[in-house]
Order: sequence, then structure tokens, then C-alpha cells
Amino acid sequence: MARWFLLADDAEGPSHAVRFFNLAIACIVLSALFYVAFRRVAYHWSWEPIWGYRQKFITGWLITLGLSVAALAGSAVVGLVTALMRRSRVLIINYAAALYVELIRGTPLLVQILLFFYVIANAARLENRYVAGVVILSLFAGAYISEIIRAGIESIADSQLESARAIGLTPIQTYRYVVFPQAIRQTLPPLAGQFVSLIKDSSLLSIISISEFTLNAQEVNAFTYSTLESYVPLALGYLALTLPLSLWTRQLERRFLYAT
Amino acid sequence: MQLEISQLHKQYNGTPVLDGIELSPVTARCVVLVGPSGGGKTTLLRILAGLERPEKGSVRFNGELLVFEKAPLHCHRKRVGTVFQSFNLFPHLSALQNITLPLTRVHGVAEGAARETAMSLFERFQLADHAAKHPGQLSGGQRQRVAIVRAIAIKPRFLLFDEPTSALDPEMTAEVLEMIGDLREEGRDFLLVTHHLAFARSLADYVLFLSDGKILEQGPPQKVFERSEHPACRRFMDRVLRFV
Repeated sequence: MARWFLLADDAEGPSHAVRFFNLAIACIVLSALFYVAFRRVAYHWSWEPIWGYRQKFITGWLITLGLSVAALAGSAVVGLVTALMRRSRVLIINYAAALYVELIRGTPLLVQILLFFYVIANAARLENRYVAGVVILSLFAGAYISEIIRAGIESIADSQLESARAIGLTPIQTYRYVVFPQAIRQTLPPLAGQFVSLIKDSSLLSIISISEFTLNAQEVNAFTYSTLESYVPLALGYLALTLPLSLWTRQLERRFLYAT
Repeated sequence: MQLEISQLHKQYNGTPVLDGIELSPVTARCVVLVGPSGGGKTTLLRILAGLERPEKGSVRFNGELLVFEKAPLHCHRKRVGTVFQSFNLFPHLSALQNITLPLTRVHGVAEGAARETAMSLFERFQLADHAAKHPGQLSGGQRQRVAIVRAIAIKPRFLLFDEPTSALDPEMTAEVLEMIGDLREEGRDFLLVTHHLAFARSLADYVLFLSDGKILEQGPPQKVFERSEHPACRRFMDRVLRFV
């Protein structure tokens, strides 16, 4: 009996059947909870008006997908550059990066979006709001990612750097062959979390009327007055983006697994 | 190898660690550094390895002056094989990749040739079965032997060993000392810091006794270990050799 429910002590882990069985039970329990809650408030679902707007959901979702992919790449670059700047021995570079990270982390994304879009992007004659949106998201997530990468780099023992120096690697080679391959292992789990947040944070871009997933759902709600019917698909749509990302990074983590 | 040192000074946070090391040219295959902990052995070895710069003084290998500046030091490090106390292999690479990384990236050897060099050395030192393993899967002794292979694979001018066995249990120590003995037989030049005085005595051509940042005694092993005239050296040997 126990082997159907408990994690065994051996390293092998549960079989597929046991995994599926327990996951199914967890799903059923959770669904039952929601079911009971909706029954008690006697919510009347009306999906027909929503179905008419399905194209809006699809385009919105695709826009969010595009924004997220672009911002993911952008924030990774911004994060990496900032992390390296934070390790610079040139004080101005170091402080500038530190200031940027603190300013971004200490202020609401909402304010950053408004400030960047209406002041900085305007002044720079950056008129495409989608490009501006990607830049804002990249700068926002980049600040967090830089700290994650910095922590990863700093987790590499000095003896590793010394060893790299002793065999004659240049500083760039040391980063390329010794530091990054080891840091990525420490960095992947928090990085995955940050990327998932980034996807959800893209919903705030609706305030500068970027026609992404959330804005479209809000509009459908305004047209149909079916609030939950508009927002439940929204949640599922975001899950469709974030879950694969989580699973993929978990797989990557396994690939980078080596005993220390 | 000929080694010459003059007036070498090194401080850490104001505390002198090397306090005027002086060595008139000595020619020897195997130089061993012994002495109490904190006496400056490791610091001296690190300076010779090009990992540390002294405040003052000069070092000559085979008459060639070691220039303590960025570029020449980098060049110097490429030509010596350093083995650390704690192995310092790269944990994300296999044993084989640990050997081929410096060969291909620093010494411009082609990937295939580098693998061949590494494998023939692994076979020579009974490590061939472990080539694909990561350091985490190897015993301490095996790790240190891989680290030694990494140091000799680049065909260094000489080898530097910094207490290569002090992190190992007696059996693994024997395994590593045996390998160092083999290298000695092959006629390689090296400089070794060790606490294994019996081993040092059997191996060394020339012994330096370091204490308080100075070379207090030097000469062939018989002289330093048995007939030292320096009281500090005699006291040290009496204490330590009692249990050998």
C-alpha cells in the first residue's frame, strides 16, 4: 500500500504509474474544491458570447507570446551585461550598474512603464509601442536576472579561478569554460522563476494599450459582462506559456547535474 | 633546473610572509621545501608558479629572470605545471576534458591530438578507466593523480607541487606519492612542498628549510635532515622525525 503513496528511500523515484496515480488524485481534489465553491455561489456560466470573441484571445495570446520571447532574450542580455558590470573594477561602471538594479527593483513596474513610455521613449522618438514594451520588460527583468547571474558567478569557488589562472586560461576563457558552465547550474532554478514572472508581468503593458493577452481579455469582459468567462481562459493561456518553460528548465537542470 | 632567488619579500596585510628569501644558484632535479606551517612555503611556491607577485626581489629559472608583470607572468604560468593541495579540478568536466581543456584552449593542440595525449598519460598512470568520470565520481587519490596528469600533459618546464597529499588519507597518499616517485624516475624537474619528510628525504636532491619567511637551512637531504647546524631546523627535525 505504502509504495502507491510514499516516496521510497531509494534513489530511483516513483514509477510512472505511481506518479500518474498521485497526480490524478491531486487534480481531482483541487477540481472538487473549485466545483463545490462554484456550486455554493450558484455561478451561471455563459460561454456563448465569449466563443464569439475567440479570435481576440488567440491574437492576444500570440502577441503576449511574441513579447515574452523577445523580452526573455532581451532581459538575458541586459542581465548578463549588468552582472559583468557589477563585477567591474572600474567604479563608475560598477556603481552605475548597482544604481540601475536598485532603482528598478525598488520601484513599481507600473511607474516604470509609464515613465519610460511617455517620457524616455517619447524623447527618443521611439514610436512603436511594442518595441518600447519589450525594452521596458527587458530592463525590468534584466535587473533581477543580473543579480541572479551575479550570485551564480560568485558561487564559484576562488580555487576554481586560481586553477584556471594556473593552467594559463585568459580571463575571458575562464568565464567561458570554467565560470559560466558551473554558474548556470546554480542560476537555472531562480532564472526559471524570473522568466515565469516576466511572462505574467507582460500583462501590465496593457496600460500603454499594447494589445496583448490581458488587454484583450479585459475588452472581451467589457463587451460581454462575463467576467469569469473572460478571465479563466486568460489564466489557462498564461499557464500554457509558463508551464512548458518550467518543465523545460527542469529538464535543463537535470542535464547540468553533476556531482561536486 | 637551476633556481636562483634574491631578496624576495612578500606581505599579507602588513604581515611579512616572506622576509628576504635568498638562494644562490642551485641546480637540482627535485627541490623540496619543508618547514613549519605558516613559514612561507606555500607563498614561495605560489610566487614561483606565477600566481602571486612579491613586493621586492627577483627569481631566476635557468638564469632567466621571472618578470612580475601581467603578460610575462601569464606566459610563465603556461609553461609550468602546478598541482594544488585541494586538486582544483573542474567539477563540470570529465577527467579527460580536464586534461584537454588547457591543451586545446591554451596550447593550441588539436582536439584529437589532445585526447590522445591525455589517454596515453591516463594509461601510463592507470587512470584510463576513469577518463569519462567527473571529479565528483573519483576518489581523492584519483582526483589528485588526474590533477598531476593535467600538470604534466602540457609538457611543462618544471612541476610545482603544493602539499599534494595533505588532503588525502594514508592509502591515497601512498598512491599519489608513488606517482610523484615515478615522475622523478622519468627525470622530470620539480619543486615540492610536503609534510612527508621520509618521502622528501628519499626524493629530494636539494632541500630548503623555511621558517618565519626565511630559508634557515639548505643543502642535500642528509645535511638538512640529519646534520643541520641551525637550531630551529634541528628542533623541527627532531620533533617531526621522531614519529617516522
